[in-house]
Order: sequence, then structure tokens, then C-alpha cells
Amino acid sequence: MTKDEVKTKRKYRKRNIFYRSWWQNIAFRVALLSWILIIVTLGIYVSTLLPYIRESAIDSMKSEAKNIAASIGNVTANAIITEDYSFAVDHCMKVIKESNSILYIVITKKDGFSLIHTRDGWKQSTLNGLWTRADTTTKAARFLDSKLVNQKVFHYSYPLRYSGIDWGWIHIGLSLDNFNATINHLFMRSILLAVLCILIGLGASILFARKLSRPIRKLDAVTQLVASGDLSARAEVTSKDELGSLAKSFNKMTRVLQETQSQLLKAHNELEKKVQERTAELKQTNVHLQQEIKERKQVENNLKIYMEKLKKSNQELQDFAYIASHDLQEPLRKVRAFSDRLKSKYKDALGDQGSDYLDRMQNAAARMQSFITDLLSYSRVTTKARPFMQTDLSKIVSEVLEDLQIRIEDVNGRVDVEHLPVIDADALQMRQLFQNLIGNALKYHKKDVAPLIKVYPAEQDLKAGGSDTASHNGFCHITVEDNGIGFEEKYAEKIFGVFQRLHGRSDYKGSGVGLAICRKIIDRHSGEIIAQGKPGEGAKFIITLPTKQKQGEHTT
Amino acid sequence: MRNKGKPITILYADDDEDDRLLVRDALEESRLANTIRFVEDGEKLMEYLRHENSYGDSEKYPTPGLILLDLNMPKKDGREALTEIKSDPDLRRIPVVVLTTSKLEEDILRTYDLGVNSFITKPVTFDSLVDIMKTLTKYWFEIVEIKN
Repeated sequence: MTKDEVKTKRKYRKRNIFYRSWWQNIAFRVALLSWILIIVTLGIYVSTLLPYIRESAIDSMKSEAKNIAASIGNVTANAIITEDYSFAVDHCMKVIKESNSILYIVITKKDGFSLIHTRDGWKQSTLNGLWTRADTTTKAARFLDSKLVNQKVFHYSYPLRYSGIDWGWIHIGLSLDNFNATINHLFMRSILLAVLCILIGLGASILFARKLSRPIRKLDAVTQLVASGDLSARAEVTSKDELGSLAKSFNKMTRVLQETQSQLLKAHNELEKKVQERTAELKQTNVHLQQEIKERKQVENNLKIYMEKLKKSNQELQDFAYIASHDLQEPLRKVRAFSDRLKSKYKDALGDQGSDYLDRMQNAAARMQSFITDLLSYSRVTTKARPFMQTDLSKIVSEVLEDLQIRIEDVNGRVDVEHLPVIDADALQMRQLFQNLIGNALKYHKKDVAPLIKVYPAEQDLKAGGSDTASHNGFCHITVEDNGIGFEEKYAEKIFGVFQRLHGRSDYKGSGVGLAICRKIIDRHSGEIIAQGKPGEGAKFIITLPTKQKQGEHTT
Repeated sequence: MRNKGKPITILYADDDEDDRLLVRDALEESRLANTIRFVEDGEKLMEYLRHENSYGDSEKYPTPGLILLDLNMPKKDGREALTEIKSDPDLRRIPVVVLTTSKLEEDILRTYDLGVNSFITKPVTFDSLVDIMKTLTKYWFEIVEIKN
């Protein structure tokens, strides 16, 4: 159960308690309402019916009294006028005795002479007031407290009329016993009826309310179930009213919810499965990756070790170069110096042959020295490298020509230089490069032909596209061409090797390191140098150099 | 100020016996009147200059008018000795010429930084050495004004 569900349930329980307080109960309220309706209806009914019944009771008493009075009037009027009072008294007494509701009969003449008949007897008296002032304007019927019989009576006055003349009044006093009994009876019955109605109404309204609220409560219970997560719960309301329709809608909604939930659950399960699969894949990949990282680290470590070794061997090489420059040269210098001394001090003692041997010895020593210095300058291409700077190759070549001025003049040579580009390079090494190339061109000239050397940018024949500019695609091409003795094409690559010579020492001096240095310089500049030539037709050296160098790349 | 009466002494510091012999020969060959003294390393050089230990006799070991100095020597090398000489107020005026086999740029620059007066690479031939000795003595003892 998630946190949210718990929250919802708690909230729901709270609401439930609230709803279950009896005064808030829908059944109670419906019952109360219908019961109150019954009571109110009953109240209205009773309050309108009771006075009406009372009126009709009074009316019936009135007509009874009127009938009695009229009958007495008819019978006794003649006797009263003729003052035959005994007849009147006899008749009245007879009437009183026959009825049990008549309390008194009083016949009053206009002058106040009255015959008063009660159940106890009769008497003659003179009356006034109430008895004589009865007229049509005063009410003929009334309730009054009679002193004659000492109780409450219904008093009715009727005119004593004979031959169209009013002679006096006939007063009838009716007992209220019947009336009171009727009223009391009515009242009691009404109360009984009301109580009965109220009780029946209460029961009926409770039953009705229960019946009405039962489907609601059922729906409520089902809603609670659904809310607590049981989507399989269905409302069992079968009525065809709005509640039935509501229950149907609710069931439909719950079914849709259940379907949606099961679909969601299915999707969730699928997703979870996918996630698990993916996680497994990832784990696998991770394992692979870790292994790869491990391997790479191993390789890196190996590389580091190799780098260290390389650094060390590089250092050793540099040390060797230093040793070569100093320690190897030192004894050689001594050999030369002391052989000099020997030659100058003991020339006579040595004789011609001895001097010749000494000369050869000195030559060999000198050659060895030049080997050593050349080798040193070869190794210095990398060990004594300078950073790449903007270098004007035209300027470099003109400086080289200045240095070579004497040699050029000696061989009657000519060097034609075209405008060369400005590139990123080690100026000192560029100078060494052109010095070696032009120097070589001067050295290997034909004996009978004055050397003609051309230095020009780009080489149309070599690079396709006929580029007419010095720099092309970030590279520049420079050719040094001569008309010297040339060489066989098969040696085109060999001549760049260290100590590689194509000619005997007696023909051309040199240690055979010059072109090797050129190749090394070009390599360091990430360029290319190739040689082309034919014996007797001159040689061509084509240089390709990048015009821009990467930052920080100044040593290799 | 020139000292015409007494020959000026040249002090040559080098561990190489061959070179010492060659320099002596070259000096003889150039027919110069200067006397020459030799020391084998930087420590001996400093002892000589300060007349310490076996170099106490200033008649036998006179203060030199010129020091020829090899760079690579045992115990105390030429660079250290040079630093000491140039920081000693009594010795710093004596001209020092480095005579070495090294042609290395950094050696040249460094010794000039230390205050050396000249830097000469040992020549290959004996004749060149004779020329150098001649030129040196002529330059330092006849052309240039120095206080001895």
C-alpha cells in the first residue's frame, strides 16, 4: 500500500465517522422530514376540522332548542294569552320530563310575568333583564352560566308569537352534557388518531427512509471498497429509478477503471520487465566496459613504460652524441696534434716514406674527425631543435648564397632563386637544409660545364592540377635543380641514408651525411623530400613542407 | 701597466698532460719570454692563486698575469673555479681565458655569463695552437692595458 492510499483511507474514515453521526444520517433526515410532514398535515387537518365540528354541534343544539321552543309556542301560545297557565305549565313539565337535555323552560311575557319550569318543579315569577330584552338583534343562542340551575347551559330564546303578535319569549335551557361529551369524545378521538398517525407515520417514514437510503448506503459501501482499491466491487442496486441508473453508471465506471487499471498494470509489468532486461544489458555492458577500461589501463601503463624507456634511450642517445662530440674527438685531436709535432720536429729523421705514412695517418684522422662532427650535426637535428617560427625562405636562401659565395665563384657557377614562401619552420635548420642541397649541387657539377642551380617554388610536373602558387592545400613545394652529374634513379632513396655515398672519396670529399640531415630536418617539419635524376643530366630535389605547424610541436 | 723587467707568468689549469705538453711546446715555439706554470685541477688552481699549502712560495709560484682554464677537470671543474675567481676581489682582475675542447653553445654562453674574458676551443693542429699562444700573449701583455 502506498503512502497516498493510506492517506486517502484515513481521510475517508474521518469522513465516514462524520457521515455516521446520526443527525447527519440521510435515512434519519428523510424519516424526520416525512414524519414532520405527517404531523404538520395532521395538525392542519385537526385545527380546521375541530371548530367546524363544534359549530355543527352548536347548530344541532340550536335547531333542537328552536324546535322545542316552536312546539311549546304552538301548543301553549293560546293558553298563555288566555291566561290558562296550568295548561302551559302541564305541557312544559311534560316536555321537560320527556327530555333529558332540557334543563329549563321559561315563558316570559313582555311585562316580566314568567312561568319558570325546571326539572324540580315550576314557579311563577317576574323577571327582567336577560329574559325581557331578547330581541332579534340580540343573539338568540348563547352559552351562559345559569343561576337558575347553577350550571353552564345553552340558552336559546324564541319569540312567543300568536296571530302575528309577539307576546313574549320562550327561553329554553339545554344541558351541555351531550355537547361536552361530543366535544370531548371528538377531542379524544382526534388525539388518539394523531398519536396513531404519528406512530404509523414514524414507522412508515423510517421504513421509507431506509428503503430510500439502502441503495445509497450500498453504493457508499461499494464506493468505499473501490476507493480502497478493490475495483472488482459492484453495486447491487436493481431499482429502476435514478439510483438504479446511478448504480449502473457507477458499475460501468468501475468496470472501465478496472479495465484501465489492468491495462496499466500490464503496461507497468511490461515496462518493469523491459527495465529489468535493460538493466541486465547495462550490467553486462558495464562489465565489458570495465574490462575494456582495465585493458586500456594496461595498455596505457605499457605505453607509459615504453615512453619511459623511449625517453631513457633518447637521453642515452643524446649522451652518446655528447660523448661523441667530446670524448671521441679528444684523442683524435691529440693524434693529429702530435703527428703534427712529429712531422715538423723530426721531418728529416722520418724520411720520405715515413712522412708519407704520417700524411696518410693524418688524413685518416682528419676524415674520422669530420665523420664525428657530421654525425654530431645529424643527431643535433632533433636534440638541438628550436621552435617553429615564421620563416622567410627567400631570405634564408639568400643568406646561404652569401655563405657559399666563394665556392660559387670558384666553380664559376650560377644560382637562380625565385620568390619563395614564408612558412612555419626552424630557421637554422632551413638554412642547414638549403646549405646542404645547394652545396651538393655545387659539389657534384660536371667537370666541363659551369654549374647552373635553380631554386623555385612548386613543381608543375609533379603535382597534378597545375598549381601556380607556392603554397597549395597548406603545403608548399620547393625544387632545387642542378645540371650536374646526376645519379641513377635506383639510388634515389639510398642517397638519403647516413654515410651513404655514390662516389669514391678521391672524386668527391664528404662523409655522406648531408642528405641524411636534410631528410631528418624535413621529417621533423612533417614534410617530404624526394630526389629525381639521371646520370649526366642533373638532379632534382623536391621538398614538400607544411606552411603552418601545430602549436607546441617543435621537437620530435 | 707593463712590467718589462720581469717576465709575466701564465698559469694553465688542465688535467690533460698531453695538452699541458702541447701548450708548453707551443709557448716555446712562439719564442715568448713568459714563464708558464701548470696545475691539474680547480682545487690546485685556487690553492696556487691564494698561495696556500705547497704553493706558499710566491717567488716560485708568482701570481699569474693570465689564466688559461680548461672547463672539464676533476675535483673542481673550470666553471666552479671561474665562479670563485670572479667573486674574489683579489683575483677577479686577472684575465681568464677558457681553453677547452667543447664547442657547445651552452658552454660558451655560460662561461661568458660567469665573467670569462675569452673562450677558445682547443685547435686541432699544433700550428694553430702556436698561433693562439702568440696572439693571446700579444693581446693581453702588449695591446691591452691591465694592472699586474
